[in-house]
Amino acid sequence: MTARNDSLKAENILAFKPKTIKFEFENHSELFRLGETFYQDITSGVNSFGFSSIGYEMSQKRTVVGLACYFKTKGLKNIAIIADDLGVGLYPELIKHSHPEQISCSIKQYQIDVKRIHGHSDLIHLAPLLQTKEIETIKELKGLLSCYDLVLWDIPPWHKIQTSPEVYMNMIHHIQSLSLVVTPSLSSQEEVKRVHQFFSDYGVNLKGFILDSYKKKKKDLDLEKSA
Amino acid sequence: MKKLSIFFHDQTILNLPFLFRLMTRYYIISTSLVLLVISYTTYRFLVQKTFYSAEMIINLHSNETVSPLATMPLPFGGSSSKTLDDEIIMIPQSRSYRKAVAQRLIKLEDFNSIDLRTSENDDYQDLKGQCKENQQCLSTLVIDRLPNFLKIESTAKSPTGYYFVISTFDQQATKILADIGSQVLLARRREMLVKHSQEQIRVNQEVLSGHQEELREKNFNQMTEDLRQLKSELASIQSRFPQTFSLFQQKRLEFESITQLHTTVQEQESLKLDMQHIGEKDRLTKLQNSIEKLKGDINSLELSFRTPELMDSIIIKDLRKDLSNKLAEFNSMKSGGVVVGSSNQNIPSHRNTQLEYNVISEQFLRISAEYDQILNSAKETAYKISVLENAIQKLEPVNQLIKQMEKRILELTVSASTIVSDIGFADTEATYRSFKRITLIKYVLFTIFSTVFLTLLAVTLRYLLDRKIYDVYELENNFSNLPIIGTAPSFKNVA
Repeated sequence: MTARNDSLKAENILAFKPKTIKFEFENHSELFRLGETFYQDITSGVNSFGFSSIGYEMSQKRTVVGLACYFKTKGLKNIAIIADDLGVGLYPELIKHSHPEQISCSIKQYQIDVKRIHGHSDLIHLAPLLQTKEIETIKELKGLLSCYDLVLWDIPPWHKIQTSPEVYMNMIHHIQSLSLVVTPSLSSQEEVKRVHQFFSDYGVNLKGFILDSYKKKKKDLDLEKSA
Repeated sequence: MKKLSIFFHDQTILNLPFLFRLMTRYYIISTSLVLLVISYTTYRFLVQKTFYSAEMIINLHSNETVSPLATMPLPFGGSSSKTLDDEIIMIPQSRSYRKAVAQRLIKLEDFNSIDLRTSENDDYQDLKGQCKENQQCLSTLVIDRLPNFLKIESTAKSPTGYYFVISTFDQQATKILADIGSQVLLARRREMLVKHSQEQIRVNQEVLSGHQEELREKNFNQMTEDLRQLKSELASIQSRFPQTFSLFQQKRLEFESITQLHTTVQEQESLKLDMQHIGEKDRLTKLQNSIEKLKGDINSLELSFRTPELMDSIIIKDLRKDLSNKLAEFNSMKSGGVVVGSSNQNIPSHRNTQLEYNVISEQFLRISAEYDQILNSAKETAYKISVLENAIQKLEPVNQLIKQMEKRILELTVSASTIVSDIGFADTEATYRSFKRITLIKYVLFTIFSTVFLTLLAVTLRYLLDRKIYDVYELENNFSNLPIIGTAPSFKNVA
C-alpha cells in the first residue's frame, strides 16, 4: 500500500508545473524503481551522485533531470544539478523556466551563480566551480555545496576528464557514487571498460549501470529542437 | 574469451536464445542473407535443365549365369552373382559398347538435332561443329559423352535386379538412345559371352598342349603299348603253362618210377660187389631219406595245387632242382657199390631197365628244361609289367586331366557356337519421365540449412567483431561485478 501511495503521489508531482514547465515521463515505473535505489543510498548518507554516459551523452542528462524530479517527490528540498554544458539537452528548457540567483554556503562567502527552478532544483554550471581561485580544495567545494541536501553531477565526457584530470579532481573527489548510463548499440564494451577503470583508479565508488534506449535519441533531438 | 563463452550453454551446448537474439540484433545481415540464399537457390532451381530419362527392366533368362567369367570365382569360394553384377553393370562403360552405340547414332539422319550435352555449360555443339562431319571425331565426341547418359543400375525395385537407365537433356535423344542402347547392349552381351568362351577354350588348349607335351616327352603312349604287348605275352605264356605243366608232371612221375626201378636193379647188381663202402651206407641212407622227403613234399604241393599257378610252379621247380641234385649224388654213390635197403627178387633185367631209364630221363630233362624256360619267361615278363605299370601310374593323373580337358574343350566349343545372351529386356514399355537433377525438396532443405548456417556464421562473426553493448544480457555477462540499477527515464514531453 505504501508503494502504491508513493506511486500515486509521484505521478501527481511528476506532472508538476514549476510555473509553466511540465514533465511527462514515458516510464514512470522504471523511474520509480531507479529512484528508489538512489534514495536508499541517500538515507544511508550518500548525497553526491555522479552520472556519466558512454555512447550517448543526452541519456545522462535525462537521467539527472528525471532523478531530480523523483527526489522532489521524496521531499528533498535543496537539489543541485551541476552540469558542464547547460546549453544542451533538457537544460535550455529548464533554464527558460528558471531565474538566476547567487547563493553562498561557505564561510568565505563565495557566491555561486545558479539557475533556480521554482520548487525544483538549482542548475549550476560546472566550469566556474572548478576554475575559481577561491575553490581550490575539495574541502572548499564541499563547503560551497553544503547548503544542498543532494548534489547530482552531470559529469563531462570522460575523455575530457582524462585529458586534464587535475581540473576535475575536486569534482571526482566530491562524487560519492558514480553511475554509468549505457546506451545499447551505441556504447562500446571497451569504452565502458576504460571509463570503469578510470574512475575505479581514482577510488570513485561505482554504483552500477543505467540502461538507456537508443530509440530515445530522436525524441531527445525533438525536445532539443522544441527548446 | 568472454565473447566466445557466451555462445555455449551447459545444457544445450549452444546458447540458442543468444544466437536468436543476435539474429534479431543484426537483422539487416540476417534478413539479407536469408533473402540472398533463398534468391540464389530459387534461381538455381529454376535455371537447372530438365532431365528426360527412360528406364527399361532387364530380365535375366536364368538364375544360373552362363557367363564363363562369372563362374570363375566359384572354385575359390567366391560368389558368381557379384561378378555377374559387375559384368552387366559395366557394359555401358565399356569402350566397345560405347563405340558401337556412337557409330549407330552418327549414322542417324536426326543426329544433328540430338542434344548430347552433359551439363548446361557443355560446349557440345561447338565441339561437334569443329569435327566438320569427320566421322572419327564425331565418334570420339559421342563416345566420351555416353557414360553420362547410359547406365545399368542394380536395384531391388526391378524384379530381376537391373534397370537400363537413359537420361539426357533432350527428350528425343533419350528415346533414340534407349532404342539403340538396348539393342547394342544385347548384342554386346552375347559377344562378351562368346569371347569369354573362346578365350576359355584357348586357355584350356594351351594348358592341354602343355600336359600333352609332358606325356610325349616321357613316351607315355609307347609305354602303354609296351605294357599291352607284355600283358599279351604273359597271357600267352599263361595259356601254354597248364599243358606244359601236366606234361611235366607226367614225365616226372615216369622218371621217378623208372629211377626207382633202375635203382633197384642197380642194387641187385651191386650185391656182388664188395661191401667195402659199408661206412658210406649211413650217409646213403640219410640221402635216400632226404630224397624221399623231397618227393613227398613235391607230391603234396602238386596235389594241393589243382590249378598250378606261376609262383607255385617256381617253388616246385626249386624243390625239384634240389631233388635232382640229390638224386645225382645218390646215384653216383650207388654206382660206387653202396647198397641201400633190401634186395628184390622180382627185378627186371638190368639192360632193359637201363635203356628205359635213359629214354625217360632224356624226355624228362627236355620237358623240365622247357618248363623252366616258361617259368623264367613268365617271371621276367611279370617284372617288366610291374615296372611299366608303376611308371604309367605316376603319369596317370596327367593323362586323366588331359582327358577331362579334352572333354571340357569339346563342351565349350559346342556351347560357344550356340551361345545366346543371358539377359533381355522386359516386354513392358520403357518408363519415360522428366525431372530436375536436384529436386525441390532438396533445394528447400539446402536453403533452410544453408540459411541457418550462414546466418548464424555471419551474426557470430559480426558479434565477435562488434564492440558495442546491446542489452542487459551482454552487460551482465561482461561486467558481472557491477549491477544494472535500472533504466534511464524517458520524457514524453517537456512544455
